Amino acid sequence: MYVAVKGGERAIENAHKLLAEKRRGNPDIPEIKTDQIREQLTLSVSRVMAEGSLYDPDLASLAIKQARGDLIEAVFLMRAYRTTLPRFGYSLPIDTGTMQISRRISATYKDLPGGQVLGPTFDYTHRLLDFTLTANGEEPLEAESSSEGVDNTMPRVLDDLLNHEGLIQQEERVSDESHEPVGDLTRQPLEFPADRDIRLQNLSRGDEGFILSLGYSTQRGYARNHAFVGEIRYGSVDVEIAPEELDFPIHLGEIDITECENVNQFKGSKTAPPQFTRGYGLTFGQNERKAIAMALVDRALRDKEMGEEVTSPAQDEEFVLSHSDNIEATGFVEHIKLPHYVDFQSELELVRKMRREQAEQHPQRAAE
Amino acid sequence: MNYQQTEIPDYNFAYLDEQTKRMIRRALLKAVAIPGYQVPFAGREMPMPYGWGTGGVQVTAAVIGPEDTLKVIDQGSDDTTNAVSIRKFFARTAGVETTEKTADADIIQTRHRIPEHPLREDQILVYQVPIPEPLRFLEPRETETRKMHALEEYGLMHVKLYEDIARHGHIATTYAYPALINDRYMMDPSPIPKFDNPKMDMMPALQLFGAGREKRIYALPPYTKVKSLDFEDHPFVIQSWEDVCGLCGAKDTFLDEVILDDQGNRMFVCSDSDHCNERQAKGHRGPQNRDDSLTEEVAL
Amino acid sequence: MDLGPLTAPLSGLENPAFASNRIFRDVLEALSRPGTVVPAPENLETPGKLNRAATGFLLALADMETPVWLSPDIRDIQTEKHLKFHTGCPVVDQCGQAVFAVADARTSNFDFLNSLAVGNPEMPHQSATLLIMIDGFTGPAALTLTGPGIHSKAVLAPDPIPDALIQWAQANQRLFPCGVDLIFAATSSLAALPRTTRIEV
Repeated sequence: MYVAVKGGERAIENAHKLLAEKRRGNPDIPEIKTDQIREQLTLSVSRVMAEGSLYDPDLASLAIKQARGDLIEAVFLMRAYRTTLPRFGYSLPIDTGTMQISRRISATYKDLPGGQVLGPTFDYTHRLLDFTLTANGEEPLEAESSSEGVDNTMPRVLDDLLNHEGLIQQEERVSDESHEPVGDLTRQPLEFPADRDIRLQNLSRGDEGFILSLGYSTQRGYARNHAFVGEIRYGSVDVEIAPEELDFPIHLGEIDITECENVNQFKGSKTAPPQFTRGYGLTFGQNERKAIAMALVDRALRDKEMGEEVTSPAQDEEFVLSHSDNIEATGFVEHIKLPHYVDFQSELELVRKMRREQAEQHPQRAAE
Repeated sequence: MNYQQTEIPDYNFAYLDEQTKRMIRRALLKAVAIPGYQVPFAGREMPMPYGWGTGGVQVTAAVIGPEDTLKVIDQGSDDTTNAVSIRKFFARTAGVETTEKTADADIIQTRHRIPEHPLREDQILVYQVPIPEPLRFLEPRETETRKMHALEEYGLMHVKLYEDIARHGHIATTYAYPALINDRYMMDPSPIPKFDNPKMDMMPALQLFGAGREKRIYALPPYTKVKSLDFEDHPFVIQSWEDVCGLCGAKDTFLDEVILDDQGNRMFVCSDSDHCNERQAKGHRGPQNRDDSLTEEVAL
Repeated sequence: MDLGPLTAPLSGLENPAFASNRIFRDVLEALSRPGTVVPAPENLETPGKLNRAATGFLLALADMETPVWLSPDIRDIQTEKHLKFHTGCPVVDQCGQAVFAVADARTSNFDFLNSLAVGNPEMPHQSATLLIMIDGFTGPAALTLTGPGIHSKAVLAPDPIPDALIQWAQANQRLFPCGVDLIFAATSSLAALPRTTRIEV
């Protein structure tokens, strides 16, 4: 006799046990520690913090370990934790102009005040597998520190240098009291058209791969707007809050961020003279790929502001903002593995019925 | 802060913080006041993936109280893994009673089905919704569909259904079949089979719909008119089967097809497992379930 | 938060998670079934001129995201402080900004009604919910109600029920899908007329 499937709790519990076993791998190999992840897989930690929308390297390391290295799964763990955190207040805007610089480069000037600071970058490594790392490596080479040190009052390329001649578009300051408070799409549903604050928040939390490909598409002619990297800086900035009852800000700590400001062509419009325009990218931790791509997409999404025609996916804010979130995307893409047999049964019944009807109308074709 | 713990030991009743619940509750009250209209809400990340019922879970979490008894079904069944998982989530975070019996539940969270047993005035049905916008596959832009709803401009859907008739001889939508609510808003009933659409019409129970990823909540107050779209010469009809339930012999329920072997043998069983069990307990037997002394079809 | 001179604040909801759930469920029931009278929370301290049903409603559903407007005749420092202390809601001067507006059927001037937010055709949910405080539901004149949530018809006899309010509520219903949702908050009970409800006197 047929017995209906009893799914269930025991199967789920066993699946969880198997998962834990797989995560641990061969028990003869020492278990990885979260501080090892935090210290040695820093770029994974950066990505998980950026897309998880929560700056906490320890939690991100734990999430990466728990997720068996699946970074989107780790982002998900961070997001689900983040949403339970109470909000005590809002920090003051960070000032990247006063960043403790680890890296700063400009593609628009050969040399500039403050200089080009290469910092820790893969850029000029030859991508040859370093087999010494498999044998537990060697002591790393210690980088030489310059006798001059890094100048920490480095002028910003777009605001302080290009702006002298009025060649670059002026950004509106949204933190002024006269403006609406900065939006937060984790507290308010996304509505269209979206303002730039919401767009930037969305892109900053958005999936690195999606933003990368969209940015790339603008370079290949889908909303081409040739961009120069005016400046990338990576380093740490202070986070401060200004409680209502005090008239001075309180220093909470520092966070590492990567900032990219692009300089784009603009031929001018009826009202505006020709000048350069901007695209902006910002991520937690070190992630230039994401910051540059984000700046490209930010610029593409400013089409309405610039009076440009929307012709390409990267310019289409509904398309970009609705599909950038990898937690939403992975959930919905993967949910089709859940049972759908009721819907499928409905379709089966329809297809059979249509085939029957067709066979009655065209008996020959059905016989073939 | 101590991050060693892998579980939050003391989460709030029903997981969500009170501020989030208030936000969802306010959206629910507006949804009830504007039947069929999709109220945007600031949906939160839940500890389960989008697409797994986060909208329904958030609605249930905002609605459920300590005295409620909860039933969770997926595809009509209490035993599907995701239904088990959601039921366990609320048993753990809200400590509520759970049940598999439709008649014993105060709140029923469902994915893809409406129970066969008629619901009562004192029950609430919470639907998990993947895509709340009935016009989404005809017009992907939210900015456009919002205007269409504002102007009650639903011609696009009628054209689509009419094209089905022209091509296939009948409407080719079998689930998530659009309905007009209270003669005003077009609504997606979530991917329930069209078999279930008539149950929504003038239902005594309150029906709440939650779409977590799309961040929309909508509702049908009790005794609200729900009209499945159709044409005068092509009236709305529900699915029917030539077979009966192999276990309980029911002729008037939604049946799932079960493949028995690789020779093309199959049988049909009720998708609503509680309803089927109840019928069997009362002595009803189907053709594949006659291994005891009871005879089939004691009464229908 | 500046709470002015120190006075012992009245207490709010006891066991807020459960109490606000109970209140919400009753309000949900009232709005889902127009004309149904549901109980107000018992043993609840009420500030100023607010009654129990109105106080319970606001403590359960208001917070920093919901501007509250109080009709001038019922607005006083104690009420304002109580709401701010327990919910964090802003108390606003313009009723057009209010998510929740509160007035008293006996003492308020109803000129404000047409300034309440009714939403717009694309966003009809961005509308106010109006709480009218009354004595109870055993008034001399019964309203006959039809619409979603009502099996065939329902009757409700708010006491008192000013004519101006009935006329406004009838006009409000014709704004659908825009419109205000109306809650009658009596001392010990509550009923609601969402914008969908047709009212006959």
